[in-house]
Amino acid sequence: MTALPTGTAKRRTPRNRGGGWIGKVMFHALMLGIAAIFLLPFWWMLISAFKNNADIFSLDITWWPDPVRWENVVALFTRPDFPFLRQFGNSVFYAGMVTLGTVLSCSVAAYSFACLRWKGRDAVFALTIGTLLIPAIVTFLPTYIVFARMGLVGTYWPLIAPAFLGEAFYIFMMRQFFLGVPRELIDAARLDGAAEFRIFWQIVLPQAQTALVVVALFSIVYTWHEFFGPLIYLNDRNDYPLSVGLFTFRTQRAVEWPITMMGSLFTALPLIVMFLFTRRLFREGLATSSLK
Amino acid sequence: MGNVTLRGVRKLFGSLEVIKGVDLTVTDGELVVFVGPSGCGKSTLLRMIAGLEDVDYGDVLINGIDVTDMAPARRGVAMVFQNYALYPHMNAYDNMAYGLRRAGLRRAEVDPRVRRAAGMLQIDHLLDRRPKAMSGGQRQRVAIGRAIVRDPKVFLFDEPLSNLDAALRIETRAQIAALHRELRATMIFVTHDQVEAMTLADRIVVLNAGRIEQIGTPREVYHNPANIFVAGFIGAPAMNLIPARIAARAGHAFLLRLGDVVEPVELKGDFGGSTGDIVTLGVRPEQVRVSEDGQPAEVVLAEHLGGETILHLRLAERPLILRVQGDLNVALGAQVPVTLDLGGASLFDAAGTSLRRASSG
Amino acid sequence: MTSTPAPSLRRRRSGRSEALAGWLFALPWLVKLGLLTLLPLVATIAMGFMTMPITGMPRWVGMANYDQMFADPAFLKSAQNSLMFAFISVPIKLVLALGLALLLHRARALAGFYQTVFYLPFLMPAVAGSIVFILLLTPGAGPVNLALEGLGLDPPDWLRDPQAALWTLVLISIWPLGVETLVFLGGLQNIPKDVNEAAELDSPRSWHRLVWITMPLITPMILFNLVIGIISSFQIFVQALVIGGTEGQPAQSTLMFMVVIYRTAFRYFNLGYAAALSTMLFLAVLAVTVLVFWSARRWVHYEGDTT
Repeated sequence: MTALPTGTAKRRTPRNRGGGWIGKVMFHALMLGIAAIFLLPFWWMLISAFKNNADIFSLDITWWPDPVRWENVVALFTRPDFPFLRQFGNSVFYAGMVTLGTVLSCSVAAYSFACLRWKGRDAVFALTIGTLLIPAIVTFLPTYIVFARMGLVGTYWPLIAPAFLGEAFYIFMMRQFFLGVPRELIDAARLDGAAEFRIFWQIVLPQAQTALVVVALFSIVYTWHEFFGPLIYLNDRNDYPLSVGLFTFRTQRAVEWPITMMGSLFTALPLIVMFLFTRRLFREGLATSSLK
Repeated sequence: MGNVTLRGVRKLFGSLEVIKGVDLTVTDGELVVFVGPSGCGKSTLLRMIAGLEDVDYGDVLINGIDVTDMAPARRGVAMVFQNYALYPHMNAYDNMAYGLRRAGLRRAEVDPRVRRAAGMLQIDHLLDRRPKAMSGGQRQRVAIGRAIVRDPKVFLFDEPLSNLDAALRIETRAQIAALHRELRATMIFVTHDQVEAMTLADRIVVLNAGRIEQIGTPREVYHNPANIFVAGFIGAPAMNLIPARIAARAGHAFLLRLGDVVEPVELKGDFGGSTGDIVTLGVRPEQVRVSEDGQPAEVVLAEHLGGETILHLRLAERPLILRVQGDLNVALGAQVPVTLDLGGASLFDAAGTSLRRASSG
Repeated sequence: MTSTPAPSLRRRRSGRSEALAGWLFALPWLVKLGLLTLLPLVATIAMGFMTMPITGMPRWVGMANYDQMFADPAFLKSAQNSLMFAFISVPIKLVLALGLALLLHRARALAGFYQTVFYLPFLMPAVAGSIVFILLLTPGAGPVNLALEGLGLDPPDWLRDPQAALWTLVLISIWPLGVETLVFLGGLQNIPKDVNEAAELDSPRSWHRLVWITMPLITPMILFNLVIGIISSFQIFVQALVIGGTEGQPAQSTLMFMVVIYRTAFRYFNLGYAAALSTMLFLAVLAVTVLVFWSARRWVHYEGDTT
């Protein structure tokens, strides 16, 4: 039977597991310091976008633009030699189309690898993984020649069409997700006599919604960043997506740093905003794909 | 080897108090079982002894030394986990040798200890296997071996049998009991299964919602439960708890009116309580007897276990469970005359506390 | 009651339709695999043995391209640069990512915030990131040198000193280590809680647990990050282009292999030679990957179930 407590009356500080409050403060100081270092480039981009050349390169480093030059924003959108808005639209178009194609093609392929049984499946999948070792340039050169002969240089076709056939990395990622779908669902549907496509479309796909969104997000990010393909295939400045547009503007106008920074800011911003709303999904996507 | 003392130990999760002031002493060589329903805090208490959970108030002492602020590895305890917690990338030998090697022991010292433990648990043939190549029972024995090898002051077992199948559970239970006898080590064992508690323990600690309800030997806890909770928790099928009233009392003789039953029953024993008090009478199922001059009770359910029979009855609108050796052939709905053998019965007051006075037998 | 057909017949039929569906579903990818991946691979290898003038037909020249390659200072310099870059930046990146992951694993408060912060650089397009780093590293006007001087160090002229320029690229490529960190974090969180606790009880010193239990159990993640890291660092392009242009300023110190391939193919229009260079890149990636996997047998622990 419990007698009256005879132990220490005062509250104990948690043992080393939390480190007590001193340990906690030091830990967070460290983390915040590292975080600050990581955010520095973003901050610098932000403030440089609102300075002018002289401010940026002055030896008196300022951590906040003084004065804040809002006119840079207007300048960005109105410069004739930097069709920013057009290129922004191109990026949206490019990323959107590629993502659409990727999600469609990779989900069917991944489903086939994960949930359907056919002869040679595992060998083909191993081959698929193997292609991740092939540097992009190796497949790029001959296909470029072919597309050139077809007269498709200068259009987005060579950049978008292949996305509708699949991409090894995303197929791998989606397959991981599909493997997590309980087999019983599929077996039960088969027992009910459902057609294979119906099983895929109505039963398995709704289960893997997270997977689709994660793949879409990654695809958007990577395509937004995509540089080499558009650089080679596109020639007209008005066709460029932002990644290439920013690059060419900078190489043409080496001294226009504020505009360049403003352009960088607006190129990065959409992705950041998108990310802030979908953080958890990114994390899940990585978690599943790395546990191979 | 080792004794453990807990003094005024309390733990809070935010504003929720999960361990509400525990005082306890485990003496050298004892096997003490913490038992209680899910969420009662028994695992938390064990982990506080191990050092895996922080203590908010109170002290934990091992062999008289205050270890409350000490790291787990320094306390001289060894723990066997419910999910075995073997190091997946090492074979059984390395799993067991790990702690010793880190402590700086040479191979010549490590090897005999590992082999001795392996011999005790009959896992010699498994020493170079990885956990994933072993069955649950084998993994559990390796986990126990890992604890033995460290020669700890106290062994801590956190529901080690819960993940094993029924037959394996009984076998491993016997092995642990044998181990206890052989090593004569101090052991604290946590389980939610009161059968395990009853069969293994030198003493049982019954916990409920962060509080100790009773500490006692299995016999004490069974025959003299401190309150209704313990009475209902220990023993399967559960003790019959019958609401009653003290109609009259004279010294150690009580006349109880049970529910709506007209005839009062006689109870003899050293209990507290006055005439007119509302009480609860506790009668174990094996003390409900079939008797020609008993009250008729309706059979609601009959469970034939072969060696014994358990009848769920209905007497005067109240449920009653009867347990008898052998096979009793009765039909559902039949009326069976029963009496209550009240020698050794328990009596609880309106708050649920046992009214029995003096030391229990 | 309808009689069910003989079991074997039924199984075969459903098996056949499943197999057919399997092929159909995979068809688009198979097309790409064959036509747009494997075929071009063979084609590139073949092209490496040819010369491909802009006008006129391609001609077989045997090993001529490769002979030229090994005497080509641009090839040698860029290969050296790329290898150095890979073997410097990848280990540093992995060590930092692992350290960060260990810290994140400990953090309970604000964990989500920190993860967001460390993942953010990954979202910055490489072009923009490189440009910003140029500003950051500009001596005098950039805060990096200011901070280093404040610590008493003598910082180099990152962009104009050939010795330091490569390190500029290293810095730029290390900064977005969110992906690697999260992979490691996933691995750390995958270690069962009670295995950690058992190790806590068993380990006299706290670093024992890290070295003997935690690290071995995340070796699969290390392998993954290592392979991915090497493959992508061999192919670094846009950052090198921004920092050093097509000539790898200053003094070819930032000339990376992909930049050489790029200018060979699309500035000088020497497709045959570019194909040979690409084949070389492929072989290098293959060789290093095989080496890493072969060595992996010794240091990677694949765990099974513990329960």
